[in-house]
Amino acid sequence: MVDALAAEVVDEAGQAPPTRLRVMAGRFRRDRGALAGAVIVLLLFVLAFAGPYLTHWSYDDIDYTALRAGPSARHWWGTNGIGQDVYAQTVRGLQKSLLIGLAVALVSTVLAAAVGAVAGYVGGWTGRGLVLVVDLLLVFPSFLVIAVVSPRLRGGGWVAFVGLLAAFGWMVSARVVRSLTISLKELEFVRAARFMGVSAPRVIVRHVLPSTASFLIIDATLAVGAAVMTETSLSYFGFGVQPPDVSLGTLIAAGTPSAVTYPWMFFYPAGLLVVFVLAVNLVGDGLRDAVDPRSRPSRPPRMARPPRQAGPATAAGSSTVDDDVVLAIRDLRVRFGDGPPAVDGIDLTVHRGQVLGIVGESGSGKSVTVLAALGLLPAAATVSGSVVLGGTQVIGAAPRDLRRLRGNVASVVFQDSLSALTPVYRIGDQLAEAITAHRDVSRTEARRRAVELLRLVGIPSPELRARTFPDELSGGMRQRVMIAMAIANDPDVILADEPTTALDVTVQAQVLRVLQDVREATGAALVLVSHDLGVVAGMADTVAVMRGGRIVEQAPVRQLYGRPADPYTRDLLDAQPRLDAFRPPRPVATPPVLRVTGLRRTFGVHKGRVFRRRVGSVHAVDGVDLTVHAGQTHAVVGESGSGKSTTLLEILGLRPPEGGTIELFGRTVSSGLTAADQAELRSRMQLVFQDPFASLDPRLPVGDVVAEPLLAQGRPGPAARARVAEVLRLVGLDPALARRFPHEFSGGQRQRIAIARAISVAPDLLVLDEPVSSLDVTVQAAILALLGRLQRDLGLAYLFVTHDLAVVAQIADVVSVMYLGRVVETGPAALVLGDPLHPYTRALLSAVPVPDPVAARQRPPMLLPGDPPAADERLTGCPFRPRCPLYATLSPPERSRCESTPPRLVDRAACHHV
Amino acid sequence: MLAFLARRLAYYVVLLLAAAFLSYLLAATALSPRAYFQARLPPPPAAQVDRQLRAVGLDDREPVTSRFAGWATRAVHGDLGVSITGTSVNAEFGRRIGVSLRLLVLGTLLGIGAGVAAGAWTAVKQYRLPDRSFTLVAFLLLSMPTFLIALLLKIGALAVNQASGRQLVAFTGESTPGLTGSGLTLFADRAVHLLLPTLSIGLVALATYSRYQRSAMLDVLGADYLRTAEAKGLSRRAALIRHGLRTALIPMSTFFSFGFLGVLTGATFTEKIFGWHGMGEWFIDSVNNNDVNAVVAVNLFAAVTVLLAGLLADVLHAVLDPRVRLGVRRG
Repeated sequence: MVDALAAEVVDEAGQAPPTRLRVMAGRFRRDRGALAGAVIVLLLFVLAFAGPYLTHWSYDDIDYTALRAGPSARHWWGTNGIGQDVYAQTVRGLQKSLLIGLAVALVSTVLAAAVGAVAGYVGGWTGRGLVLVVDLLLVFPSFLVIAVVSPRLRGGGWVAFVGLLAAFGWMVSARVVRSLTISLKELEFVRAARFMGVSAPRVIVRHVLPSTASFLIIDATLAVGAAVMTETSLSYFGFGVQPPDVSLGTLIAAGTPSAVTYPWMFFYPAGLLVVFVLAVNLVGDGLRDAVDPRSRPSRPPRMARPPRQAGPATAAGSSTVDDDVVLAIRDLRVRFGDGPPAVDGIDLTVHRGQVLGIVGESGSGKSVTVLAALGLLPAAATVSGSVVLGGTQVIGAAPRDLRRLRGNVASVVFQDSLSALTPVYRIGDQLAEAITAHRDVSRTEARRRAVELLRLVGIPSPELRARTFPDELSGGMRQRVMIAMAIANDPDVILADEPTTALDVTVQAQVLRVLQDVREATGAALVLVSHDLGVVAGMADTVAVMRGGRIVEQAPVRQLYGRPADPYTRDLLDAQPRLDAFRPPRPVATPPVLRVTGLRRTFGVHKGRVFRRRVGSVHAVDGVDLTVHAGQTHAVVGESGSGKSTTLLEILGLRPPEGGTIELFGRTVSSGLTAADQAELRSRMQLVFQDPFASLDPRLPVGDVVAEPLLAQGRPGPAARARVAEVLRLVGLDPALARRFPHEFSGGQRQRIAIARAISVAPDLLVLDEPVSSLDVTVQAAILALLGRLQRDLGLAYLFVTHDLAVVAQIADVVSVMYLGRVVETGPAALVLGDPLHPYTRALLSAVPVPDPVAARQRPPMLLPGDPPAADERLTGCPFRPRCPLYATLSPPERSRCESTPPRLVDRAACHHV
Repeated sequence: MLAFLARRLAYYVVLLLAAAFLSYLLAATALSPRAYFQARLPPPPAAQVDRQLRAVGLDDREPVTSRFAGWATRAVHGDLGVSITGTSVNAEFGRRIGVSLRLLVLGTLLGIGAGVAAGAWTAVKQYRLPDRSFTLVAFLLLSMPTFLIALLLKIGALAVNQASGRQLVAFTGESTPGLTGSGLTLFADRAVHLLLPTLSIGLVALATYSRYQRSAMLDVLGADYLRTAEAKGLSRRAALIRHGLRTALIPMSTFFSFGFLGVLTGATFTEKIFGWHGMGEWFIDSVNNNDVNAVVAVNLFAAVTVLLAGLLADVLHAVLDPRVRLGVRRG
C-alpha cells in the first residue's frame, strides 16, 4: 500500500508540483467577485495616477465662466460652486485617499505583526503589558482621539495624519496575530524545530511568521479599505486632509449641500469611494477564501434535498425482504462530486440480533456505508443502489420518513464523542431529546427515562451526571452516553462507527462490554465498524473486510480469521501486531546512552483568565527511572495521563529537571551546559512525533524539512543536500521528491520523512512519541519494519513511547509500564508481557483485543473499574489502589500497607503484594 | 462565575482610569481654550482671558498634571466641570446621554437581531442565490462610511418628500418642534424622526454582524453534533437551529464588544447629520470650540459604553457557553 502510493507520487515527479501558492491562486482566479474586485482596484489606481494627465484642468484651477456647470465636453464631470473641474478634483482626491489608505495599511500591519508576534511568542509580563496597551487603545474610540489631535498636526501634513491613523488602526490585528502566535508555538512542527536545536529567532522567521503571513496579507488588504473610509470620514468633518488639498472626504463634504440640485458634485466622489472600498473588500474576501481550504466551493452544502438517486429504487417491502432482515444493502454506490467512488457496489445483510463486523483501513468506505444506511450523507454525495431499513427504502426517501427511521429503527454510535455531543446542552437533555423525537412523552418523563438509560450503561450517580455538560465527562463516560442515546428508542439495529478508537485500552474494554450488554438486553442487531481486527474478533458473528469501497471478503468470524481467503485479509491479519509475538531478547552489553533517575515534573493547575491563580498541582512525572542502552529499544507504555509524553518532553528539553537527574551519553543535563554542549547533545539525540501531518511544516519543501537539524547544527548547503538525498533513500523515498511539499504525501510517507529528518544528523538515540499510532495497520507494519532495519544498520537506540502493547511486543527489548507518573513495572519485554507481575500490567494486557475470535471469547478481559484518573490528586500510598483488582481481594492489614506506603520499584514491579 | 465577572470588572476599572487620564492629557494638550477666548470680538485683554481660563479650570500656565488633579478631584465627586461657555458639563451630559442611548440601543439591537438571522440563513445557503445576493448587499453597506449611508438616506428621504409633496420622512432632530396633539401623534412623530438615524446605525450593524454570524455558522455546519442530532431523528431544520445556531452564537459575544466601538463612532456621524443633539454631535462641536472639559466628558462616556459592552459580552459568553461558566478546560 505504501509502495503503491510512493509509486504514484514518483510517477508524477516529472510534472511541476502543485504548490500551495498555485492552489490558492487557482481558487482566487475562480472567485469571480474577487477577480472583478482586483480589476477594479487596478483601474482605479490607473485613474488616480494617470487621470490628472488626461485633462488640462488642474484640481485648483478655477473656470469663472462655468459655475456649477453640469458634465460637458469641457468639464467631463461638471464644475463646482467656484468653477473648479470636478473630474480633476475627484481624481486628485482619489489619489490622495489611496496613498493615505495604502500607507496606513502598511504601517499598521507591520506594527500589528511586530507587537502581536512578540506578545505571543515571549508571553509572560511583556506579553501581558502589550495586551494592556492594546486594550487601552481599544477603549479609546480612535476616531475621537484622531479628531482631537489631527488639527494640531497640520504642520506635519498628511504624513503625520497617516502616522496618526496607523497608530490607532493596528490593535485588533495585533490581538489576532498574538493568538495565532500562541497557538503556533504549540504546533508540533514548531516544537520539533525547537527540540532539534533551531534558535528562537530562526523559529520565528522560518516557521511562525510565514504561518501568519496569509492572515497579514488579507488583513492589510482589508485595512486599505478601512483606512480610506476613516480618512474620508475624518476629512468630511474637517479633521483630516486640509484645504487647499482635497481628498474624497473633503469633496463629498463640499458636494453634500448641493447633492440634490447639482448631483455631480456629490456622486462622483462618493461613487468612487464606494466602488474602491467595495472592490478592496471583495479582493480581501477572495484572498481569505483562497487561503482557507474550508471555504472551497466544493464543500458540500449540507442543507439539502435528499441525495440524488442514480439508479431505480428497489421497491420497499418487496418479496426479497423477510422479517428477519433488519438492514439490507444491495449494490450500494456512493460518490462525492467527481472523485473516485467512496463505496463501489457493496451488498450487506444484517439479521435480527446479529453482530456484523466491518473492518477496513482509512478510505475503505466503511464509515460512508454507515452514514448511507441512515441517509446521513451530505447532499454532494451521489448515492445509488438500495438500502432497506426496517422495510423502508432509505435511498431517495422523504425527509419525514428518514426522520422516523433515524434513532428509532436504527441508531448510531459515532467515534469522537466529544465532538458528537453538542457542547452547550446537558447530556440528560440531549438524551431526552432523542426520546421526544420519537415518542409523545412529557419532558419530565423523557428526563426520567434519560436517567434510567444512563444507569443502564453503567454511569455512576446518573441523576447527577444527567445534569453535566459533555466537557465535564471523560471519554469513556461520553461514549456510554452515546450508547445510551442509541438504545433510547429500542432500535432494531445499532450502527457503531469506530466506537472505541480514541479510548484507552482499559476504557475500550469497558465500553465494548457495555455495548455487548445493551445489545443482549435490547436484542438489537449491531454493525460494528472498526479498523481494529482485535475489536471485531471478540464480538462479531460475521465479518466483512472492506478496501477501496468494495467488500473483498465476507465470512463467519472464525472462518475469516482462521482461513482468510482474500490476500488482502491475510495482509491485514499479518500486519496486526500481536502480543504473543515477542522480539527475541538480546543481551544488554552496551553502555547506556540515556539514564534517568527520580525524574519529577509538576504542573500548576490555574484558574482565571486575567489574574491567574494556582489552585493545585499535577504530578505528571513523579519519580521515574529509565535506562536506555545503545542500539536497544526501550518502550515506555501507559494510558493517557500516565506521564509518558511528559517524561519524553523533559528529556528532549535539555533543561535541568525539576527533580531527579537526566544523563545523556554520559553527561548530566544541568544549567552548566553551554550552547555548544547543547548542540552536541542535540546532534546525538533526535525525535519523531506522533502526527506526521502536524510535525512537518507545510510551507517548506521536504528537502528543507529534512535538512532542518543539519542547518541547526550549522552544516553548509551542498553537504546538507547530499545528506538529504542519502537519508531519503535510507527511509525508502526517492530523493527526487525533496522538492515536493509535505501535503503531497500520504501519512506513512510523511512519517518516513520525519524519520529521515531525525536520522539526518546521524544520531545515537531516537526519541519516538507514538510514531505509528495515527497510521493504518499495514502502513504501521511498514514503518515498524523500517525502524527495525534502521536500528540494525545504524545502531540506533530508541526511546519509544506508545499506548499500544502489541506494538511494544513487536519492537521492544525493554519495556517500562507507567501509571500516574510512575513506573509500575519494568524489565525485558518478553518477561513483562509474557509473565506480567503488577496487577496493572496484567489488566492492561488482558484488555488488549486479540485478533483471534476463539481466544478472545475464551478469555474475557479483566475489567478495571473507573477511568485512568487525572493526576491532580495525589493519593498517599499506592496510586493504583482505587482501581486495583488485587487490592480488592486483600485483607485489611494487607490493605493498610497499600494505603500508607507507596510501593518502590524492586525487581521489576512496584507492588507490595507480588 | 461571579468571581470571574468581578475580575473582569476590576480590569475594566483599571482600563477606565487609564483612559480617563489619557483623554484628559490629550485633550488638554491638543486643544487650546485660550484660542477660543482670544478669538472673541473685540479681542479681550490678556488678564481677562486668564481669568476666564481659570474659571473653567483650564489655565494653560498651570502644569497639565495639576490641572488633571483638579479635574479628577471634582470628577470623583460627580462634577465633570464647566464647559467653555460657562455652562455645567453635567447638565449638558444629562440632556444628551438619553438622546444618544435611544439611538444606539435601538439601532444596535435591531442590527444584531437581523444580522444574526441573516448570517445564519446565508451560511446555510452558502454559495447559493440568497447567500450571494445578501453578501453583495452586506459588502456594499460595509464599503460605505456611516456618514455616507446617512447622507444617502437623507438624500433619498428628500427625494421621497419632494416627489410626494409632503413631509413623509423626517430627517432633522428628534421631533417636530412645537408639535402638539395626543400622545399617539407625538409618538408617531418621534417614530418618524427615529426611522432614518436608526436605519443608518442598524444597517451597518446588520452588515457587520451578518458576516460574523455567517462565518461562525459555517464553522459549526460541518460539526459532528449536527449529524448526531439528525441521527437521533431530528429534522434538519431543528438540528440547525437548536444545535447549530445555538452553538454558533457563542463567538458572537466577542464580536459584540469589538463591533460596538464602530457603532459608537458611526453614531457620531449619524447624530451630526440628522441633527440629533446627542453626545457625538456635542463632541464634534466641542473639538471645534476647544472645549476641553466637554471633550473629556464625551470620551469618558465612550470608554464607559465600550467597557459596558465588553462586560455584557463577557456575561453573554458565560451564559451561552457552559464551558466558560464551569471553568472546564480540555487537555
